Amino acid sequence: MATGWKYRTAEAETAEAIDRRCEPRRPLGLRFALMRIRVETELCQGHGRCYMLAPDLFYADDDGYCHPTGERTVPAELADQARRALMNCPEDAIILTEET
Amino acid sequence: MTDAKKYSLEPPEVARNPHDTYREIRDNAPVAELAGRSQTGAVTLSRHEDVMRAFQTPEVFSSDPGAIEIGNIRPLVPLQIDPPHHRKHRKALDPLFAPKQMSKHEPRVRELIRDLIDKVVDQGHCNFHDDIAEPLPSTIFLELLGLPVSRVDEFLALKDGIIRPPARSMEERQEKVKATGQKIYAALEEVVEARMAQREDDFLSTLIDAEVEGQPLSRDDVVDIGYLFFLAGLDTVSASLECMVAFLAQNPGHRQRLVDEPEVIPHAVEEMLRYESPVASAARITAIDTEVNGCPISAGTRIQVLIGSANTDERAWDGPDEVDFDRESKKHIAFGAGVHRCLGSHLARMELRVALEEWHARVPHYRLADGLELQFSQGIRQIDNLKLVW
Ligand code: HEM
Ligand code: SF4
Repeated sequence: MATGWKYRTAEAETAEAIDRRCEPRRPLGLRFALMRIRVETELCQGHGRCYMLAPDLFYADDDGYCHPTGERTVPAELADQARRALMNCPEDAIILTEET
Repeated sequence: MTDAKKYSLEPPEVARNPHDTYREIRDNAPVAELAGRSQTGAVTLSRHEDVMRAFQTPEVFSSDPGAIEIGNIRPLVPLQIDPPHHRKHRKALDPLFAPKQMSKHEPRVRELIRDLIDKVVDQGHCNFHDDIAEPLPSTIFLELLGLPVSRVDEFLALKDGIIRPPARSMEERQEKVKATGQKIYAALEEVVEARMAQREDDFLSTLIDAEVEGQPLSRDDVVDIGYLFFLAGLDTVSASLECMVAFLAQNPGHRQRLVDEPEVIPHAVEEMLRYESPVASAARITAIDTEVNGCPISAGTRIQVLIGSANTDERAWDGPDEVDFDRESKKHIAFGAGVHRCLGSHLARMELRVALEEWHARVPHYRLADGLELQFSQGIRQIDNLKLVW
């Protein structure tokens, strides 16, 4: 499998690391495809498939729901994890948009 | 509604291997009353799309206690409560069962499974249900909840009296279920009483101190939550472990993969949960008149939501009858979906993963005992006679 399996928990360090990896928005005008991800919090029921399969994009909050949920740009090296999370969320709560 | 009484999930060969029947029901009778003791007046939904709709629209498909008879005197919290009340209970309970909390118990789960394996490893055979799959989650669960582990056997008998009452008629069954229900309430009340006087490091003590919207839970609330844990947290994990080990015993290629690459186990757990769907169905009752797939259903109809069928519906899955640990998309709903998504799923996943890791490290080659016909129970797919040799 592409991803090693490990739960990341909501410890501050992980949260910051994820925030650092995924800036809220990159400046527009980039020449490569831009992938954005967010979680529809109304739909998310805490199955936890996303933070299991995309541990560099999501972690489990104290209630077991995924975090962060706001829209972010996905760095190119995490595109696979993002797609995997999308394909495994039973509630279809993960919204992924790709622009060129 | 299609008249589909010719379809039944109850014959032993169907319980063992439900996939063909699931497919026939999906194709020919997606909204139907099935044949069987418990099916009178209940409508079964079997396609992925319809099952998801039932899970995701609680305002139409209610979890009101009318949906199923499980011996309780008050609604089971949170299983039989609809939104918006449901949400505040889950807010209080979710943190108790979050992955972060559950991972703290992993060392204890590992220790216990090792002890259980120690007892059988040299004898070259075991009844996996009696020796491993039943004691593991039960012991862990009773410890977590704060019930005395010394009374494990007594509690197991009580639980069986609800989930699998030995009865010939529906009436006898319901009576037995009710009577056992009273005993479980009494046992829980005793422990809650003791914890109210003096807290311990366990769930019941945490629940006594928990607040829902600024109010402490009532004593009845705590007992009700305990009652549901009792029904939801024991058999489900045993059944899942049994289904998985039975599958692996019969599929040496898949088993060898887990022995060679233990890091695949978490993905294998998800895929086998999908394929086996150890909790085969959930219960709902319609709150208003509605329509599914063009079939009208009137308010107050009991609905059987067929999880196992949704998890193998070719309308939603590529090659659903193939067990592929590397399957890219595993949006399975073995833990349900929507607001009632299994509260214990993170605990269950951890127990299943650790059990499969330890078992395959110690007993890499095993098979079913010669001539064995596996017997699956209804609803929650336990296998009492899972005899293995190695
Ligand atoms: C592999 C093992 C398990 C499976 C397959 C499973 C399956 C399910 C399913 C399908 C539901 C949804 C029921 C519905 O929508 O009507 C559910 C709910 C629930 N499960 Fe589990 N379960 C498992 C283990 C556990 C454990 C270990 C606990 C421990 C307490 C637990 C506690 C609950 C509770 C409290 C609910 C009700 C949640 C709610 O209504 O909000 N389950 N489970
Ligand atoms: S898999 Fe989907 S529902 Fe589950 S926690 Fe992630 S976003 Fe939420």
